[in-house]
Amino acid sequence: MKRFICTCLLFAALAIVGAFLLQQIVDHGLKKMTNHSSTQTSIAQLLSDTINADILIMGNSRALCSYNPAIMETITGKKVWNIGVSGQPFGISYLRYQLYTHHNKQPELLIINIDNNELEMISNGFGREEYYPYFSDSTLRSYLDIYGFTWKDYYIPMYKYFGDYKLIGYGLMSSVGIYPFSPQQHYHGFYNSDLPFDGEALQDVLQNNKLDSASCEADAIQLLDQFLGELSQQQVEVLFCYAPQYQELYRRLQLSDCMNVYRRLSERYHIPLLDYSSVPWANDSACFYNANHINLLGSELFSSQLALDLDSLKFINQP
Amino acid sequence: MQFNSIEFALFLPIVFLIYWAIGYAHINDPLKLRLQNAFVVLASYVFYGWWDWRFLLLIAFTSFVSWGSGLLIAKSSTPKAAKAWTAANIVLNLAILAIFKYSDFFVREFGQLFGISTDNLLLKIILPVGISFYTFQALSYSIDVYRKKIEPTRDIIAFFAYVAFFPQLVAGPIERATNLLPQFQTNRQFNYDQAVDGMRQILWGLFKKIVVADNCATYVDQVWATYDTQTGSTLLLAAILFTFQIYGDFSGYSDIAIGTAKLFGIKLMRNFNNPYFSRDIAEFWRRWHISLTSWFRDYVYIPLGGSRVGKWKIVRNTFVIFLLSGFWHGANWTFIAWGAFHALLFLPLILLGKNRKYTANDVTWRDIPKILITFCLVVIGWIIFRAESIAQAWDFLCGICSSSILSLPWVESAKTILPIPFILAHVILFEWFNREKQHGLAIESLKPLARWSLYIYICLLIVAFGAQPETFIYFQF
Repeated sequence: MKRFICTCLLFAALAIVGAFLLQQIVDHGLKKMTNHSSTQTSIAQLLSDTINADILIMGNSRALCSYNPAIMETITGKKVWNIGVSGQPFGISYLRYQLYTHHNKQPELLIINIDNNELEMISNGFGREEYYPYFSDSTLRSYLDIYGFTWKDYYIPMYKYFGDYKLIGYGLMSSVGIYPFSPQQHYHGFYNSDLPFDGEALQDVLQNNKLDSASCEADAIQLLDQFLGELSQQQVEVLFCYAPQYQELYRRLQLSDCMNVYRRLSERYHIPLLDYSSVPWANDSACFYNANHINLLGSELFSSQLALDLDSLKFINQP
Repeated sequence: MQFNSIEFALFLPIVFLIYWAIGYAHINDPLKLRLQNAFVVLASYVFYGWWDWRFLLLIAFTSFVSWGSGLLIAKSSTPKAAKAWTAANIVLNLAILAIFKYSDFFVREFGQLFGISTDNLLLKIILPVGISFYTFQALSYSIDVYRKKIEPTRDIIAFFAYVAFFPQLVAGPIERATNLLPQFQTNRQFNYDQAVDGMRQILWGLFKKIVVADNCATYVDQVWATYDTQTGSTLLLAAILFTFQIYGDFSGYSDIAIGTAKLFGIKLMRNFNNPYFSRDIAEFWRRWHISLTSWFRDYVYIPLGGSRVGKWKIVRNTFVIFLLSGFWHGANWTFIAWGAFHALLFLPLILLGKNRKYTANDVTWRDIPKILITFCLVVIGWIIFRAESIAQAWDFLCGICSSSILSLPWVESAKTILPIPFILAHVILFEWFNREKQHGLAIESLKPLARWSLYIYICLLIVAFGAQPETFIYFQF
């Protein structure tokens, strides 16, 4: 019996130590990877003190591909950074903003992208693996409840990577300097793949009535309300901004509930709401790569116009 | 409590330590035995109550009635009285099973037959987990007492432990009183080699469940949910993967159950013997769910005359045993059709006297063509088994036979499908090379370094390729 218990304990100890070491290697490798499926501003960057933007942009994939910091910097003379994250609504944007402010200075101006998909806490588990290597960071962990992580993820070695053979493989490769993907070129978090317009996808959406119904979750509204209150106290200027959307789609969206929420909050906190949803070129497919997202040309047009408007609205204190 | 859960990973060592602490306590042997058995009952009821404590009363009732009937059968002054007590116990146990498992099915079918609305008559009771398994186990006791194969026990605690022994309580193997009950009536000695082999078998069972079955389930469930829009090649792939899913799921459970029992010094019967290496359907049924097949053979088929009767009776007996076996799985025509399908495959073999052609465990590479043919037949059977209705099974089979069989199968994401061939290769190779042993990871003859390397390798595979945990399929039966 003693021999059996000793053998089991030895095996368990080996398994735990082995799993712990493997986790350290995978974590280390993944931290070195700059490519992520959902964002250009990695958690490593958010947790570093290297961003320190004057103007910060937050939102979903429409924010990520619409607000071009290079153009906005040229016009405003301020440091602009886009921390947009694909596939995730306000709940996750809020989490990323909190991480940012723990290590970087408060922005002078925070642009919050608004649209029909933003007023939710979390849309799915998309992008959650990006946080795995940072579970030892207590700051990060205090904000991660939204993803539904449990003590098992935090304390059982390799539990968080369970079944994710690809991620484990990427982590191992990166840890020895073999990067599975070449890094995407981006400037201050902005990325736009500049693809031609995908009309088939639009037709599929319209014909099969796959329109995203604008959902306004009470939790998300409450969080946004609280967030705006905090920003107001911290004297951070805030701007709501609706980036251009392809008109054939935009006209079919039922936005009134969401927009009423934004207008109400806008009035309460004296936040300007700039609506670029229907700019004149929003009918021109040459400026979009699909109905929801503008392409590089569109982002240049939009970012220029926004930056000029910020200037004219006296949002920017010239350096 | 599921075997593939953190709760069980904590529960098992605690129960193991307390059980053997009692076993090594300085008290007299009879008291030690009673305490150990009482602790097994307690642990088993906690294990079962984790799902739904209300059904503990049902297990306790089934156990008490069967224990009492055993004593009454033995005390009967005439064979007629003994037969009556046996029949009463069978009727009572089957009535409980019928109420919980089959009542709604019969009411609905009756209503459809006569065009009556039966919505108000349906009981809509939750099916107690494992009811078919422990009911059959309890039945085997009273029948064996009646047949004088076993002495009735006065030790109610040992009997309750026999019915509720947690490793095999919810999904078998369906034990016989002649094998398991005597083990609860004698002192168990801890055996190092047996316990280590138990741990190996648990590891192998976890691999088959978490890696093989649950990965296949991801694809299979997606295809079955949209089978009417899928190509023939996709349906075929899903059918093959379900064949591995159900094997990984059920034999994985059995391996964990048998391995766990070994830790407690209990030897359970083997439930699977590499069924997909069978060379014909008769051999398949000697290798698949052995505890159920042999139960029906001993308590239904042989009493009906078995194969030592006229040809028509052989046909009748074959159909009876296969249809009952199908119906045992659940209240649905698909299970009955699955049983009938296998009966049709089995009949030619038994009528031609070839049903015992392959009784030895001597499969070789040269048998692979026969193995593949048998495998294909089994796959067809599993389509009927997996379908929700006969019509759905038919549509699925027609879909496979369509011209789209030549197209590439649908794959939602490479991540879910890519590891499957790699995983299946492991299970096939491990079980092939250990086909003469008790389980796929029976590697006691290897050197310690090789053994430990393989354990670590299997653990790594579970971590890297484990899928989201799914409930064991056979819990619903």
